[in-house]
Amino acid sequence: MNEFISLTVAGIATYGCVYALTAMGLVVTYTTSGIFNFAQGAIGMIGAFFFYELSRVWHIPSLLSLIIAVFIFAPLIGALLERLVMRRLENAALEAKLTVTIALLLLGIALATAIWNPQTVRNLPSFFNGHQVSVGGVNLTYQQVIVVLAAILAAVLLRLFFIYTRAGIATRAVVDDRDLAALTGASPARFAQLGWAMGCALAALAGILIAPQNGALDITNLTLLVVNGYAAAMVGRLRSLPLTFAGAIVLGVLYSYALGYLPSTLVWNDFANITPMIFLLLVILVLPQSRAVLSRRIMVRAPRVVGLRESLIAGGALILAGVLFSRLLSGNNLSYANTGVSLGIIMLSLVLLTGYGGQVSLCQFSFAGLGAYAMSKVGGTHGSLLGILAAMGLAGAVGGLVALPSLRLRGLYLALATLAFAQGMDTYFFGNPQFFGVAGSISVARPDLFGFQLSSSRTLLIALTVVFALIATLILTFRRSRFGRRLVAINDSPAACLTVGVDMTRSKLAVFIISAAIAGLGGALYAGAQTQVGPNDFQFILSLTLLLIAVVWGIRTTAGMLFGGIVFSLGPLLGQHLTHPRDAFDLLVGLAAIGVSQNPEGTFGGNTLLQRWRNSREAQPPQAAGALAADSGEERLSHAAG
Amino acid sequence: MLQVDGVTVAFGGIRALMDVNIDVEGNRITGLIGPNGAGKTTLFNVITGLQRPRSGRVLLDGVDVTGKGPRTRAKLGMGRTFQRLEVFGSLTALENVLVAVENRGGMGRAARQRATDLLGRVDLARMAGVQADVLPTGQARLLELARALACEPKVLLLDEPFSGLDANESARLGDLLESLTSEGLAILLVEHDMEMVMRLCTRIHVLSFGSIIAAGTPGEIKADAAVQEAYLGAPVGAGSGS
Repeated sequence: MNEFISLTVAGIATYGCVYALTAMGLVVTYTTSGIFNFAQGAIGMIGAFFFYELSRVWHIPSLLSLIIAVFIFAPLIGALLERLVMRRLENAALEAKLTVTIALLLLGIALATAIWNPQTVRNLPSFFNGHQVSVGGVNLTYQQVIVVLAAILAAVLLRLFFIYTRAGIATRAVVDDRDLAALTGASPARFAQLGWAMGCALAALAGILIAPQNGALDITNLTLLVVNGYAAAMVGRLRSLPLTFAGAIVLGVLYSYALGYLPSTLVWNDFANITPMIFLLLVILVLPQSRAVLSRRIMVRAPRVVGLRESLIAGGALILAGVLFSRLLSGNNLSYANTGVSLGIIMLSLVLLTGYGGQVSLCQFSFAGLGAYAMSKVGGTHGSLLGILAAMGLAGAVGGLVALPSLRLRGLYLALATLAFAQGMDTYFFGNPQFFGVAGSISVARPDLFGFQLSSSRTLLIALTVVFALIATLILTFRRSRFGRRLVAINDSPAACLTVGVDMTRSKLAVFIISAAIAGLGGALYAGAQTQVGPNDFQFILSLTLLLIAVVWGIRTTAGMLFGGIVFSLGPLLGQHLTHPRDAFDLLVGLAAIGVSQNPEGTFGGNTLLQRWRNSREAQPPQAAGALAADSGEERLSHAAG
Repeated sequence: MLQVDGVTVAFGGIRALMDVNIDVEGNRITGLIGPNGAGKTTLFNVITGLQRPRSGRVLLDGVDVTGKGPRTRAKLGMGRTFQRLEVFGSLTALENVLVAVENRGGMGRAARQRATDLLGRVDLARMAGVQADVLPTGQARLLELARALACEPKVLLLDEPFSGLDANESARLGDLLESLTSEGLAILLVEHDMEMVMRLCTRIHVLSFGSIIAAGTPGEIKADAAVQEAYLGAPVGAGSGS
């Protein structure tokens, strides 16, 4: 009984209230700007490190440091982010909005790694050095008391702000209808800025308060701890502060019980650690969704649909290039090329799913990992075709299972569900000795296609370019087919699809399965190119990087995926002389992805001079239709313009 | 053909629609007018199944479809256009219609031909290859009409199809709507262009603050005092010079 009480208290005071702080921050930014801040965790982490810097390195008194970090530093970051980045995203497609904050997340981690060397041990002592106070027979540390008070105070202040202040009321109006609120003279942008400032302040506060409870400061751990707040914000449907608070407390207590009661074996310990993610998944799946289907009209020029002849020519050129480079390159460069093209194949899976279908998946590397696993188990030492089929089959089947419960989810909720799935896979599949061996790696044979043994890296490169060209052509053919049109239609206007009678569920499920299968195939080839793969090759954070690179290069284009894949594989080269090459790469990718706010269609996705010229030609009515018709057409266009 | 029977909708505590009754008959155009915010679009959403009513029924061709989803209603013969455009923006005009044709089982070249014909019917044949997002508003509305027609509807709900059209185009659309009704279609028309409404509709319903305040022939509506009141004293049709 005593244990139960102390676990409950720890759940509320140690975790629940911190989750509440960060989750309320998410709600505030979302309601004011319409953007879900994936980087909330990173901002909390940076807040904690900044606080450490002030209080432990510069020896500024704790309270003053706290005030500087939470009330000056973090809000400034938030306001700047809103002004420089988020404001441009107002009418952007969902994947662009998600991409930019995911980029911020990676950027935050990379920056922190660059500034605060992870090798250095940094300990942040509890407030009042862990002294305790007894409340009703339960011992509480002062730290816990402060956390609870801070959470309650923040909740009350936010509530009062939204109900009683002019700004708060206007903010709520902005949430309901930005355009309408703008008509009354309220400035949505200003409230979004305020919202981001408040959201970041709450994130920093949460980061600072949770930091001392987990030993030395750790960049990844701190980021993920704050990420756990996502689930709580979902309970409040990203709108309601009281529900969010309640959700956070429930989550904190559940987490505390899981830590306390589950056997302390490795497997159960892992389970306890992903409780928040399981909770997130359940919340997303169980709670009713908003039924709004009417879309905003987004004026984004889609890339031109490529014809069959053109894609065959491009594919042929690619294969030729493959042959050429297989002669030119050698050693490491050749393996970079192999890895790059196979990563490009994994990336192609996003064109169909996200580029055309508008469904954002944050778990493509998990599917790739499943493909690699199947290839290793079924493909044997010679990498039979059966192994390839097994890779596609396993990834596709699991993809279907992931998609099935999430089909009614849209946009952000689906993305979060896939994120939760990817984290689960990291812990339970890739990190599990049963699947990935005690040594933590499996060997995957290169495929043996129709008698061509691809064990030589040169032939492999040619084979990979063939596969890439094939799949890219297939995807472009899909786009011109009935299925592809329907997919794009569903993305463009769900409401119109409903009234036309389109079965959206079936198409969404199909595209998820196909996309997962492509990722599985890419994963099998990627693993073959490396010959040895370990759990770290399929971490969920890589799925985020994958999405970012894809968006940067133009997620609705296949050519972009080839270049993206190669850039991805060359990434580590970039920082060879730095201490943390991976982070230098993430830094650049993150910066590039933030550029997405300037050019949401990506490098290959239009807005280039060539594309503009083509667009201007297309927009003119064809002359063949007859002079008379063309005349009246122009007249009409000018009429509409006037 | 379409009966709206005592439909009430409430958002929170606010009644958006109160006990609305409308009969939409085949072979003619029924008008639905009213000031902005009267609940016209909400009523359309209820009829097409995008919004569930708190009470009341929707009958399509004698079948109660109140509990059915929008897809089923579309299959049973309900088509609509949207006031706030809902074209498939990244598809071409032809593809927009093609999606609907193919959804009715059309395939290959025949489907393409049918889509082209439908575009021709709304006078958009020249725009077949143009991406829908760059069409001017008026033409985008016509595109939505072609897409709705591709579903072979029995009832067509049009939400302000004339806004964004010039005089010429309006006249042609008016003719098109009349020829559609002569083929048996039932049309429910929401429109602010009073001249058009008076010309096309055989029966007009006036919605104000969620309630039907008047129903009758164009002549009766013009003379109705309550309607005058709802339009803030402005004589109906005065603005458009009739």
